[in-house]
Formats: sequence, C-alpha cells, structure tokens
Amino acid sequence: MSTPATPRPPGRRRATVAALVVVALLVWLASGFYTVPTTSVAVARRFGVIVDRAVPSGVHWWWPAPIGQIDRAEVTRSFTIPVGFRFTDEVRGIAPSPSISRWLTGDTNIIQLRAKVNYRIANPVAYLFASEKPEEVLRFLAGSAFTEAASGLPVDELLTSGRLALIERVKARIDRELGDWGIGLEVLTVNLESVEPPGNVIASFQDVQNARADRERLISEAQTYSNGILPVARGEADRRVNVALAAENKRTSAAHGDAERFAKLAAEYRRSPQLLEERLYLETVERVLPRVRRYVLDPGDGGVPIRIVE
Amino acid sequence: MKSRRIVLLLLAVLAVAGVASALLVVDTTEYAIVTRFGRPVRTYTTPGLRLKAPLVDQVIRLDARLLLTEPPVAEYLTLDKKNVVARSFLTWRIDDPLRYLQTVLIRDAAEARLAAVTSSELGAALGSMPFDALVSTDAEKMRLGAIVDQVESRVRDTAAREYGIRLVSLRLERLSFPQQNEASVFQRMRAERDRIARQFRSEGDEQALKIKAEADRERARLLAEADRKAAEIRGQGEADAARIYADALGADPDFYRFVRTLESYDKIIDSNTTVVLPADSPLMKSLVAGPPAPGAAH
Repeated sequence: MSTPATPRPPGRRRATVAALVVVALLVWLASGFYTVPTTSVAVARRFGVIVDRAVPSGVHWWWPAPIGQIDRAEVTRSFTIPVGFRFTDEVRGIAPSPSISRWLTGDTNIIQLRAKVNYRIANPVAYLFASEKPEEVLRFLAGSAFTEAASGLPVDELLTSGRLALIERVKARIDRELGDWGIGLEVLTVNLESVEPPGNVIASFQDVQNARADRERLISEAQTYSNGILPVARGEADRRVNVALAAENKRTSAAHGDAERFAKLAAEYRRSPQLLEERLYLETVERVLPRVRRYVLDPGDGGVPIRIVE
Repeated sequence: MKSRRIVLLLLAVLAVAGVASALLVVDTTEYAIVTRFGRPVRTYTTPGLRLKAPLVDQVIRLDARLLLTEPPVAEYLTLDKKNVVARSFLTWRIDDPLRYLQTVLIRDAAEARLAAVTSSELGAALGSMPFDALVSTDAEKMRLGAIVDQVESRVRDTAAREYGIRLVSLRLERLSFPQQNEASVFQRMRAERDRIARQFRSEGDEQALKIKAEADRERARLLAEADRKAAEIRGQGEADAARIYADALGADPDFYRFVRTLESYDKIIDSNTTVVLPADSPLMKSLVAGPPAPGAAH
C-alpha cells in the first residue's frame, strides 16, 4: 500500500485499520473449522455450555476459542486396563510388585492374578466432563471388585473351577458401580489371564497336583486289577457249571442206557426166565474164570485137587 | 489532535478490558464463586456466560467433576489382633461450593481431610470385626461389603456436614497382610498344601485297596456261586439217574438182583483171585457126571 516514510491521508489509514480488523476476524472465524475422525464423536461447547452432544465424523465449523470449544472422544475403539500388572512393567520385562499383583482369598491364602478389563466410551459427554480421571477410577474400581470377589472364594476354586465365578462377580460389580458413578465408561469384558500361587509356595501347590495324579493312578491301577481278574473269574465260574452239566448229562445218559439194556433183558427174562438166568450165569463164568486160578475139588474121594489150568 | 487520539485509544482499551472483566465464562466442568473484596457474593453451579462487576469482583473456580482420591495405604488391627493393610479410594464431588470454600479452600486440604476421616472410620470398623469377617468363604460370616458400606456412609455424613463434599463412593482397592506377616502366611499355605497332598495320596491308597478287595470278593462270590450251582446240577443228575434206575429196575427186582450180582463178580474177581470149585457144583457137574439123563432139568 504505502511506505511508512510518506505520511498517509487519514481516510486511507482508517480503511487500512478496518481491513486489518476484517482479515483478523476472518482468520479467527476460519480457525473454527475442525475435523472429527471416523472413530470419534465430538462435543461442542459455547461459553462452557454443551450445545452439541454428538458431532459425527467429518469436517465441521464451530465457534473458535474463546467462545467455543471442541472435545473429541474415541467411541468406536475399545481400551484395556491392566489389573494385577502394569503395561509399562510388562514392556520392560519387570515382574509386577506384590502390592499390585497379590490378592487375599477367602481361606486366607495369597494368590497372584492378572486380568484385563476391556472397556469403551459409552457416553462421550460423561466421559469428557463428568469426572476428572475416568480411566483411573475404572482401574481402582476393577481392583476393588477383584478384592471383594477373591476374599469370598477359596484358593482351590480360584485356581481351578472358580475362575468363571470370579469373573462374573467382578463384571457384575463393576457394571453396577459404573452405572451409579456416571463416568461414561462401559466395561465390555473382563479377561482373567492367569491365577497362580505366589512363587515361593508354587512348589507346594504343584505337589498337590502330583498327589491328585497319584490318587488317580492308584485308583486306575486297582481298576485294572479288578478288570483283569473278574472276567477270568466269570469264565472259571462258567467252566465249573458246564463241567457239572456235562457230568449230569453223562450220569443220566448212562442211567438211561442201563435202564434200556435192563428193560430188554427183562423182556427176554419174562419170556424164559430159567434159560436166560443160566445163559447169563455161564457167560459170566466164561468171562471171569479164565483170568483166575481155579481148583476143582472132588467131593467123593477126600480132597485131591484136580488142577486144570495154571 | 495527537493527544486526543491517544486518550481515545486508551479509553477503547479500557472499555475492552472492562467488558472482558465483566464477563465470566463458567464451564460445564466447574463451579464459579464470585467474591467481592474477598466476600462471596454469587455462586454459579451451572455453565454459561455470566456478568460480574469489573475489577472489584474476583472469581474462584472449583472442579465440579467426580474426583478421585487415594488415601495413603494404612495398616489396621482387627478385633482378633490381626494386622491388615487396606488400600482404599474415594470418589467425590463438591456439593456445596461455598461450604467447601470456607472449610477446606483447596483440593489438597480436602483430600487430606477425607483421608483422615476415612482412616479413622476404617480403623474403628475393622477394629470391631474379627479377621474372618473380612475374608471368608462362608457367606454367613462375610461382612466385608457391609463394613465398607458402613464406613462409606459414615465418611459420607462427615464429608457432607463438614466440608460440603458429596462422597460418591468409598471402596477398598486391596486388602493384604503387612510385609512382615506374609512369611508366616506362606508357611501356613505350604503346610496346608502338604496336608492336602497327603490326604490325596492316602485317599488313593484307600480307594485302590477298596476296589481290589471288592474285586477279590466278587471273584470269590462268582466261584462259590458256580460251585453251588454245579453241586446242584450234579445232585439233580444223581436224583434223575436214581429215578431212571428205580423206574426201570423196579419192574423186575429179582432179576435185577441176579444180573447185578453177576456184574459184581466181573468186578470183584481179578487175576489174583483163586476160585475153588467143588466137582459137584452145577458148573462142574456135567463135566464130571456126563450128560444128564433125558428129561431131567437142573
């Protein structure tokens, strides 16, 4: 326009000032354009009052500071809070300190557990403005839910079958409290990564596992023994019964045979009793006498034996 | 001309500053208390653009959000003289900004007061309960939830009455043993595990013995049963045979006796037997005496 050296006419100077003010105003207004990523929604405030609770993703305009303010919240992502350990320790490979990782169980044992609480921002307005440190509140809440749940369950259940019950209790507890506190977060899942006894007693817990296995082994060995002898015994029992059946069969068959034979003889006997008796007698004598030593005594001349055959 | 312009400019600057200092933006996350010469004159608890007297009025802003406080971790003694370490946390809001301002003024002071109240209430509550009311598998005995609720409500009362604070929640983040007591806990845990392991092993022995004994007994039973059945069958066979013989032989008992006698000769006379036959025995008679006279029988 004009060089500072030459004096300017008053009219032109006033126009310059006005132009500068207009440009400054335009620049200020232009700074009101902002973008919202697809993962987020924005909340717009004017003089501290929430005017738009959910600005969708895209390019928008809103009053720049100091009149307006824009805050964004990632609503589609899920976030994770560690329980019983810290992500920073994990990255550096440091074991979590006992005060972080240990809980008391209902039977006054100490266990170490690791869990992850996955959550999302359910209410952007509450998340952004209702509390000072929503994530931190959730972290403490998760810790207290585990404390309450673990202090009612025995260690054996926590280490084995009770994990599901533990998670359910913790989840229910967190859900209830989060609803009451209104910090805009919603817990999606609670994942129990590990539950184990502290390092200095782990060997004793291991021994219980071994003992349980020993018990199962002894029982199964006994079962094997039982399964081995009982079929043999059943077979032997069958055999004895069958032997008896065979003997019975033989006995009655023999009886029948004898009876039949006798019946035939008897029929013959009835026809001619004397003849048969004589024949049977002689047959027997023929069979018996050849194999014995025989003496025939003559009753007439006083005892001289006539030897027939040696 | 020149000095007039300077005055005008000064006035404009003053006007802008005046307007600016007369305006007050109260954010949605805060309360604002307007004080005039140190005396509170207005309290704004809702957000928006407000007016105040320029220059003379001052603004004190207080956080309206849910605040988190973690009192220092402390050791307590239960009724049965067991030491427990409790880590608690509180969430709270400023409920009555004026009262808060008058009693604690700043956040640090509020947190210190809350921590002190929490600590004394927790101490009293835990001191009135045996340890197994805090940690128990018996739902009847378990009082942890009730104890915490009781402490919460007492701290809530005090905080509301004294400091204009509304306590939203008081919870135990963790319950543990003091470091020096942990060794004995581990000792006890080990002893308990050893006992359980021993029990498992003896249970195994017991059950194995039982199973084996049952198997042996079953075997004996099976064999005895079979023997009984076999004896019965044999007996039945004997009875059947006896009946068959009786039926057949009963018809001609004399003939049977005769035949049976002959059969027993067959058996009782062997090669060591010596038989003496009288020459006039029926067998020898024919040999000695020659053929019988015709017509004569035996």
